[in-house]
Amino acid sequence: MTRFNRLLTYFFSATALWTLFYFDFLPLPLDDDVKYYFLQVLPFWLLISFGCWCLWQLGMGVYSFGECEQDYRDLLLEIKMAKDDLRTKGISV
Amino acid sequence: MSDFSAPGSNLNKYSVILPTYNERRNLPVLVWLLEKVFRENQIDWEAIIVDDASPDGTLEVAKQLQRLYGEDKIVLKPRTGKLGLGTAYIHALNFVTGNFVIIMDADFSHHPKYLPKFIRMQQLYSLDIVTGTRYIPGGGVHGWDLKRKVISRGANLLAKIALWPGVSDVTGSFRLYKTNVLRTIISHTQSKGYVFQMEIIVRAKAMGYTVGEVPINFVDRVYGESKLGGDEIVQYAKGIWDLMRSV
Repeated sequence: MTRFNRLLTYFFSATALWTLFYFDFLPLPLDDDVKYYFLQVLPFWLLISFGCWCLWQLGMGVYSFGECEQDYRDLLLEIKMAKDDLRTKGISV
Repeated sequence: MSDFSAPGSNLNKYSVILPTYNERRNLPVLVWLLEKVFRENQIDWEAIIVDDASPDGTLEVAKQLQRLYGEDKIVLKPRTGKLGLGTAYIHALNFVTGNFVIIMDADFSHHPKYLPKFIRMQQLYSLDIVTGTRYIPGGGVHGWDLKRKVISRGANLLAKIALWPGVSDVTGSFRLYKTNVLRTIISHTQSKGYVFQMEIIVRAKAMGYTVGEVPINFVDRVYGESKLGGDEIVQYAKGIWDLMRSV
């Protein structure tokens, strides 16, 4: 099963479950008006939570992105060292 | 096949595949760095250089390197045109004599100094694949402004959500593979270009291979600025979409 198929399966299973609860094919131990309110709000709540999670991941990711200034400087030195050494050995750099 | 032993008695051979196009300036330095790292760690190695008819004389400098380091260490398998990365790996795999393969970029963004760490991790956990990652603590990037970092994290997040890759850096291409593992995975790949690297690692996890990660520092564009265009972003998104439906 591909990733796409799996995602679709999860989505349709969740939707089916939601529908079963909403139309009373499966019992939910809540008062009627509470139940309908909860089920109606749930998809939006999930969507917004997902959006928040994405933003958090993005923000934290950028905030904690490692810098490596020293590696850059070391690399420049190594390149120079390498070129000097290679020239003495007849490589045209 | 894990030769977990003290440094200096690693009996494996590591083949570094280097596809090149116009890398005349970088190639000698890279090979110098590779030779140094492998020699200092007493590791048996070879570099397979697949040059796609570079007009800047890359092949000529590669031949000089071959004379300096030996034909057993520098293997030249050039091609007659710019045929792309994926086919370069497939071509090189025909000539690999090591039981491990290393793939990396030739522009110093991937530094050979990390190779002993890759190798140690592979031996420690008997892994099929070890990949370098910029996104976990200990890793990082030099040369990226805020916009580039946001795009990079965003792209990786998209890949994580769409593909559940099981690795922290999907687009990274600094990796160590067991040779037979890479051969098997490549025989199943379908994409070309940019997405090819992503497909390899996603397929690898999906096929149940064990993958370890080593944090790396990635120095982008030693000469000049790193540029990322809108077109590449669109291609990337399309690549993710295609991968979602094929893996």
